[in-house]
Amino acid sequence: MFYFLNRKKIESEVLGINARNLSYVYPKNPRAYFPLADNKVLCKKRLHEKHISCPETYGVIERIGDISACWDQVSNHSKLAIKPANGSGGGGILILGKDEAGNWISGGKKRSEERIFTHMARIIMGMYSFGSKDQVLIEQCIEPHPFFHEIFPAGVPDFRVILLHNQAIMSMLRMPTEKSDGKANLHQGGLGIGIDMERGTLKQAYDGSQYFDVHPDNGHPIAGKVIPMWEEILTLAIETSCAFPLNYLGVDIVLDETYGPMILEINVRPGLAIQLANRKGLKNLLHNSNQKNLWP
Amino acid sequence: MKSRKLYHLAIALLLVVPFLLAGFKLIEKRTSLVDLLPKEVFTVTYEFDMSNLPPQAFVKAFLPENTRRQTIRYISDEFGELNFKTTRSAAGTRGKWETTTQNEEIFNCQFEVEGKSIKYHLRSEASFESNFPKSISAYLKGTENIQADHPLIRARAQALKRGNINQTLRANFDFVGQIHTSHTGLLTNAVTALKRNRASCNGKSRLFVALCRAQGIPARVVGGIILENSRKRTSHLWTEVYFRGNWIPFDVLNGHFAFLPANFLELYKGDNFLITHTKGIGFDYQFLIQKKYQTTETLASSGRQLWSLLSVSNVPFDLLRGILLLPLAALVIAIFRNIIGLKTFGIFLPVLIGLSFSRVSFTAGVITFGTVILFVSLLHLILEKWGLLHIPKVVIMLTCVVLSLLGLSWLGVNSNWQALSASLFFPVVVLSITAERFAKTLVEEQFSEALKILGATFIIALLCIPLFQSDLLVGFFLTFPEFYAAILATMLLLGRWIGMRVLEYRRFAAFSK
Repeated sequence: MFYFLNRKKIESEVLGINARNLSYVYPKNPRAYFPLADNKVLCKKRLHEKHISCPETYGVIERIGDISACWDQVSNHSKLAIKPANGSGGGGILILGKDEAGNWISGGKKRSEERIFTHMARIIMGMYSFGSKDQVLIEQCIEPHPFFHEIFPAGVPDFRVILLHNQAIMSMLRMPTEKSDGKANLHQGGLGIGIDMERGTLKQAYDGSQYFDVHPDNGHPIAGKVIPMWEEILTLAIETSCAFPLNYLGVDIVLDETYGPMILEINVRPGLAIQLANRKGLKNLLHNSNQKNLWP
Repeated sequence: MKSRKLYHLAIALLLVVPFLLAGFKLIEKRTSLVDLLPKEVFTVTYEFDMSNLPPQAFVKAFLPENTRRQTIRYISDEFGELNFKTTRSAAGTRGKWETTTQNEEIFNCQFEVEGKSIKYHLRSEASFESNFPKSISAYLKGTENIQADHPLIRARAQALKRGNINQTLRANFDFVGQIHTSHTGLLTNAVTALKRNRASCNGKSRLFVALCRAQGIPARVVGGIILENSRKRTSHLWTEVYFRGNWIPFDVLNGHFAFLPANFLELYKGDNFLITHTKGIGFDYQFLIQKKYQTTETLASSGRQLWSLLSVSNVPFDLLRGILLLPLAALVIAIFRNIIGLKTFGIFLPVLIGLSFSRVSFTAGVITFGTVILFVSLLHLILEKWGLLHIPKVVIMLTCVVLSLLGLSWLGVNSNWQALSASLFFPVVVLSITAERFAKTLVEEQFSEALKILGATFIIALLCIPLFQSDLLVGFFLTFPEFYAAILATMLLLGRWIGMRVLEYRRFAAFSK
């Protein structure tokens, strides 16, 4: 309860959601370009056009009738990630790998081609986009850099970098836990780990209520750990920001063990928990970096 | 910079103009705010039909008088070929309509009633009185139907009498109150009511009065009509007890102790018949009662506000109430979302849920809402496993919402729980939309998160209930519709407010150290 007494301190440092929307999200991002961030297919298209490192797009399926043809083209790969273009909540994502016999497996279970087709058909019919039509995105699967598995052995963690006018302001690493069921999302029980952007090292991890120096599930060290290829990650984030006509962005980057940093997706309304992960407010950082006026 | 100036100008105008206009109205009409607020007013029409007439026939009926509690305004009458005159007596004002021909006469009489409720507080130590003036001591005697001298009555009165008046009246009240209610319109006298342990309003009232009289407390019956939007033929009989110079009302049947609601129209005192007529004629009658809302005449005639909507457009008051107060309710929600930081299912939904709750009984509303949402959540979990497409899933849920409403209603009817059987009045659409949004959130967020949003939606909806039920607010906006501009101004301001939401202070509490 006492936090309210110290509210001046909170107000002076923290960026609240009203301020985020009014001062940054809506003035800095023309509404017309929101789909470039929200629709994964459009986003990938632009990334490929600008030659920005991201998972290779194996195929995009718009109509149910095209599923079979597209599948023939992509099924020679040994690993696939099938995603809804507009989906939310991660419910529609299907990661497929091949076993020795050449059968498709997902999550340890065998998946018949029929079932895979059904899944893709459902995506198109809008099952994961609440009734509205959607597209299927089939792309390269990410192999997480061993650096991540030193901390936690499962899932695909990602880096979130917030940029204003192509300048990196703050970043964090999102890491899954046992609770989060393999997902890195903070909302779903993952960890938010602050990053010292100067040194390229991890700071403490935040799970929604406490801070940890080690991973709470297995005790592996976190704080102070050096992030491999940090300079390349930052550069990629800035490159991506320059490539989009959006001036206030959250960029999600994964570190592939072979291909290095890759863009997973971009967010036009990046969340505010990054401040908690870094134990630092965005308000002043953004204000100092902001060159343009609030009013059009 | 220009758009900023325009913005501030708009806000200033929208805030200042309502106060100017309102002030102007008040000054011009020289009335106070209280006078401008709506009062509940009833229009009562006696509709009579006399036929099969001998050469000379009449109908007599009591007409209301102005008292502390009621203000009467005669509007009109249609007496045809009848002669009309009134007589005043201790019982009240009686109108008499006499025929001049032998043709069937259909006639009516219309007046307006503005009632006030009245409540008395009896001091607990108050002792019995004696030495009444002659006019009052008449109300101590037994009569043909109020048999205060009958041994059975006397015995019962003796048993009920207590040390002081308050307790005695309480004892009488509770005793008569627990007698079974019958709904006959026939006259029941006090002794019959006592013997049979069963009576309607007139029997109970007579019994109450008889008991009081037998205990030495002057009491009388009072006749009239309970006013509500309807056509009815039933009148009502309640009682009055004389104490320290006041006649204090008691209505045993409806449980009003030393209290009378505003919509009780008093027509006569003492054990009389509301309507009498020449024997043997064909006679039919009806009371047509209409409720309306009025403000002072001066303002109503000015036409500068929305009161005409009530009378001209035939919009039911309930609907109008919802429409008029919707912007205010939405403003409340905007404040809860953007200033306090609660998350709800949209902005409209809490308002609609609140509106629905305010129309049905609160308990029924909560049970209906809770049951349906629970049912839908369980359903959703099952349907998720079966992997259905979104729209067919929604149709299934909607159908199940309807089924649960029917089920609850059936349960209400069978268990005699009136409130629950009214569940069907709860808008199906609102429930279905809420159920769908809840299901959607269950997918997008964690269960605890979805539950929090549902909880916030529910609480805000609850807060909207007194808002929608407030006659004061309705009257205010009808009289001063310019204040909608103030709502617009407030939202313009809120639209550019970058302050932190209250709940964000808690989320970022770590920064306060």
